[in-house]
Amino acid sequence: MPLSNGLIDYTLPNGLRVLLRPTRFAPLVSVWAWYHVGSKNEGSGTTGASHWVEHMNFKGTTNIPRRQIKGIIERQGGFWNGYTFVDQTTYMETLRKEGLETALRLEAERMHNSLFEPAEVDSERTVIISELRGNENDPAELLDRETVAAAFRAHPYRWPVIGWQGDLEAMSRDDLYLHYRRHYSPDNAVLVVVGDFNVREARALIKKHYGPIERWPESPRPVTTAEPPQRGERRAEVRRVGATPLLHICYHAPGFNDDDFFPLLLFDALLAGPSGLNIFGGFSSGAGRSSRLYRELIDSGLSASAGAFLLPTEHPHLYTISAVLKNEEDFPAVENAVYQTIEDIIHRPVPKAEVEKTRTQLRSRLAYEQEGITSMAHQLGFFATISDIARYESVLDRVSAVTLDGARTAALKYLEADNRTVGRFWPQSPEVTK
Amino acid sequence: MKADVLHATLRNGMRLLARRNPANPTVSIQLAFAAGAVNDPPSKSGLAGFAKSLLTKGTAKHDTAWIAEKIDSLGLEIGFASGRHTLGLSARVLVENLRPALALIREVIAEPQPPADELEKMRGRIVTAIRRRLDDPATVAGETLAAMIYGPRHPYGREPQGTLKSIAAVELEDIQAFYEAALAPGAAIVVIVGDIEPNEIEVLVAETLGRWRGGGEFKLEPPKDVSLPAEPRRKFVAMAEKTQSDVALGYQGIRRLDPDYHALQVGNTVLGRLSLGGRVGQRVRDREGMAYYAYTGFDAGIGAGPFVFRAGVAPQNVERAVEIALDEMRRARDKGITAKEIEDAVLYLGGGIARQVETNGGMASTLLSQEIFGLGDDYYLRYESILRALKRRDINDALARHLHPDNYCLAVAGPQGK
Repeated sequence: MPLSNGLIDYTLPNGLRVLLRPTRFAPLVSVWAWYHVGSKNEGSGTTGASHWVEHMNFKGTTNIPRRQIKGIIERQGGFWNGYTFVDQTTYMETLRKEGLETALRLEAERMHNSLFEPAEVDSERTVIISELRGNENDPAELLDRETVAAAFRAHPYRWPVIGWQGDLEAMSRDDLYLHYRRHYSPDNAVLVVVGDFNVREARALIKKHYGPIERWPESPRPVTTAEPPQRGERRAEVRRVGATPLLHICYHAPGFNDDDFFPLLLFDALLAGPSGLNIFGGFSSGAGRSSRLYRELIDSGLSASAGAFLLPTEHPHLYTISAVLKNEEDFPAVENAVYQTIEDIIHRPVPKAEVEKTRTQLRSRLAYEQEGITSMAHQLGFFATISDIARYESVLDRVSAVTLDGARTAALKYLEADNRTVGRFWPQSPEVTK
Repeated sequence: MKADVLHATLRNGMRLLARRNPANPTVSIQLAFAAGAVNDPPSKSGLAGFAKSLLTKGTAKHDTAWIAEKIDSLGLEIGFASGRHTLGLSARVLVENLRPALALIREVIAEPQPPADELEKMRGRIVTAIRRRLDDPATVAGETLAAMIYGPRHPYGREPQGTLKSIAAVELEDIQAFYEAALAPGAAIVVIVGDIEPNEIEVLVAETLGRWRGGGEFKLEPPKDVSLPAEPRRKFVAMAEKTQSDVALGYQGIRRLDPDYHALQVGNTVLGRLSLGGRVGQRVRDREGMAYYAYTGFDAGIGAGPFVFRAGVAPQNVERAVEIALDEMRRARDKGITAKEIEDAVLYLGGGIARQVETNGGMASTLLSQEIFGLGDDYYLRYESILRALKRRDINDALARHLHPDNYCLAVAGPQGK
């Protein structure tokens, strides 16, 4: 069932786009507020601002003070969360249908009335630095950060979403507040409601809570920096105490709005099995069991695990292939196996059945990842923010229209040596570094 | 409201539960065998997990490449999990491919025959996974705590995934013996939920899983209880070059069928769960800004799993976080929790069930767990009224009985503290 079935899509006079999708299978509603702001809208000195703003938006607003915000959704049997990514920031509640207005009111408050009290900003600073340090405990996170930073020279996709620690230590309350107001204008947001609700009532509630919110006078500055073409392979080497060697191979890749995205998505599915397009739920970066990557890296005994994924981003991001090695002596063998596997798909015959299998997997995966109102609402909002829903819904048709030769052409264009950055994590034993 | 679940026992003894959900064009299959890591011989701990990892690596008829090809060409997503007491299979597939998916599942669970080279490859992968776990302070803290609470001879004190040494000791005969002892149709419960009529499911299951001949019985035995430590016991595991410390504090808690289970669920929600970690999270995370995560929980299963407090904090904040957790445990034990807090927790837990059963996978795993514990099909519908019927005194008495801030074990893993 396409997501756009019965979808109501309209815009309030203040520019807020609203997507309503009634479905009555469970007595629940899922409400999502999406903002077109992420780490790519940050600059040196304010890296991590979007993510920090997200944290501050759980700390009380003018009309819902801190102590009320605690438990406000839980009292409706609800689950709430939020995340910040490179292109967007989002907040969600899935709760009993009786709680619809509570969720709508909370998101309206968050859109323009968050307090950002200085004491709360400082207390959250340590929480976020603790989160960053927790991430650093994981060598895979550390390597990802280093590899991405090496792959991008100009485009702000090079910032880690959580920010650099120096910026987190230095940013002021006013830096954050300005980032918030500038980007949380209704005309920079999409509100999504999916579930068991009456459309007329929902529209009235939305008008009541969001109608009065004024636009921020100046539009956010668009990100105009384009990453210049890469002219040669780059390497990022990371050494630290750890358990296993890790390899990340990243190629600059087309964004979701580029027509090359779809042939590369098919190529990715041929190489490693489909990852899907829902980064919030069900996204699978691990290689499928019958995929070529699995056979060449895992069945061969070279790696303990391996995977690949193409992120659906607004601007060109990266296509990443990763592997967990058993021994660091295997780095050259694993790297070569990856390159050879890519070459084989491009230059040697690929059975028709393999292409068909890949399409079935992709079709199943896309069905799985929009199961339930929470996932449906996520997919609607995610793609409405960076692209459009029709384009998302056309993914299967577009991928079906891609021929094997089309996928190979995309691979030849993007998956070439000069366009890649290779990151390696070399685990050190504790004795050496002490 | 009714749960509308079809129950059937196949001729080979396997129990089937089926339910229609028209909301999604997918089907979830969840299957559990009464076979878990608790029965692993101590010198070969991790055997059950090792064996489950090899379930798609070869059968009497087909090799791993054929099986992998088949799984992927059906768009079947399938995973196996080895718990303390059960070996579980979780799969999803589009409705149109349910029948061939069930036939394939029958083959991999009824006739597993992984060859020796697949065993060696898997051993390598497990060893790497264990090395990575040993590099993760949160895992190390949790495993150290379990060993302290239960001791090395108790099945809950051992790491279910095994150790480098125990995994090295597993041989192909052990795997085969495990399959023979553990995988039998009568020792399995299968639950199927999706956009298909239960009667149709029953026919498909009878024609596929039903063709598996064998006996077996679905029976789970709780392990022995252990006693609380007379006084606090502490252990620190130094991990070089880590930036954050992980704290795990706890002691043996309760079984799922303990009469205090519901009261403690409400009580613990207030103590360490509601709104990012309840009273404990409020102080550790919000008021003092010390941690990215902090929570408490009772791991109530077939046997009495641990009650734990977990947090990730900067090394210099470990003592303070522990102090706060103990202080809140004491306060909840001595003074109880308020009627307002109970109301909030009940609303939260009650509403959570509706979300839990919204997806096919969520409904299937809920039905499976209800069946394993004998709670009845309509348990998830009755759940909120069960909680509502609890009196404040029951909840506070249960907290007083089960919070032991002076008899805990504490494991900390992280960089050398200051």
